[in-house]
Amino acid sequence: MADRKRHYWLREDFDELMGLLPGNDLADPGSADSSISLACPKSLKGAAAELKLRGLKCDEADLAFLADKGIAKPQRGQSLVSDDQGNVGTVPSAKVMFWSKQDIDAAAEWLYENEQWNQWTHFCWVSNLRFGQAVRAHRYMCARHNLGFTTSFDALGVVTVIEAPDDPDDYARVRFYPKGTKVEVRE
Amino acid sequence: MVDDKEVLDRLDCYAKAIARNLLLKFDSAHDRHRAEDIAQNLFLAGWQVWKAKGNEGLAKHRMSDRAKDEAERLANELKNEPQPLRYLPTAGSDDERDDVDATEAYHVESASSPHRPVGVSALSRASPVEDMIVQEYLEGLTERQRRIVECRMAQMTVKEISQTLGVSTSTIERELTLLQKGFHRDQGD
Repeated sequence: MADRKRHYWLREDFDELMGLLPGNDLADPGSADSSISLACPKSLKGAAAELKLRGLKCDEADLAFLADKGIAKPQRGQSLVSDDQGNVGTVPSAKVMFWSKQDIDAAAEWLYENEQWNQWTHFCWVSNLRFGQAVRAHRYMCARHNLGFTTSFDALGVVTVIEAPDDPDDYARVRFYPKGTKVEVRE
Repeated sequence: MVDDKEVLDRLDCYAKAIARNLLLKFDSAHDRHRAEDIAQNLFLAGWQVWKAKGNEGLAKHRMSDRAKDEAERLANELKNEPQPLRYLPTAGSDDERDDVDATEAYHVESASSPHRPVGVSALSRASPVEDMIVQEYLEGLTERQRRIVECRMAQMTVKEISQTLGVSTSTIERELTLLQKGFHRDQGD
């Protein structure tokens, strides 16, 4: 694996899993503010929500800061202003932004590099897991055995196993086994 | 009342079988992580339809549809991976790779003898996990469907299968169409 490993929910993994939701790539009135939607551009609110879901710690103010710094370059809407003489004009809006996937990913990368992680990214970093694989395995296990989804990687009533990779440059993998499965701990 | 657990078992089996066949097509049957990832994606796609519509056929249809996306993604991924040594082009044979199909890696002993009954054992697979997945899928089929699938897996043509099993080619084609659409046990023996 030539690239350095990342432990937040990577774009390709996120798109892949969210792409399973029918119509999730279609723009509708709520999609711009939605964390799970694949329709872009997203609003500031939607971009922040997606990044939180992808395991990064941020809010709208953080993203506005990144946009001001030029780390991400979302397009801005126009705000109406008027001068003392009553002449009306427009200036780039501080709040209305259109975040493309590239902008969101640029912000994600900066947040990751600066360790703005939530507990699940930290968990993946400690365990050398690929976030996307852990989420998918968890969703699969819950769906397969009617366990109901949780917002974490925890699945109640099953044995969670993290298998070390054969290649040290690769990610470990998380697997879930039925309750009572005997597992052997390896250093 | 349809038993949810049984349907989920069948969908899971179906997802694993599609994943396995997909990887065979790309000569990556040995990649169990990739097989697991694809099977999980397919299962989740089918599961959503099953939960929303309560229709197993539609769920399988969605899984088959999703398999096309997975195939495309797999092709793109494999394009960027180093090729196995035997696929390296030799001087004067740029098209060599086109001549090699999955049967080389997945050696078929019986394809040249259409009258010999073909079983799963006729195929030498990369791992016992694959055998288990195939067995799970085959167990969900009728006897005739199972034999047809086994012959098909051995790369036999419709005509060869028809001769082997002693049924008409149109019957074989009909069964294969049903299987591709995800219908099992719809036809009696």
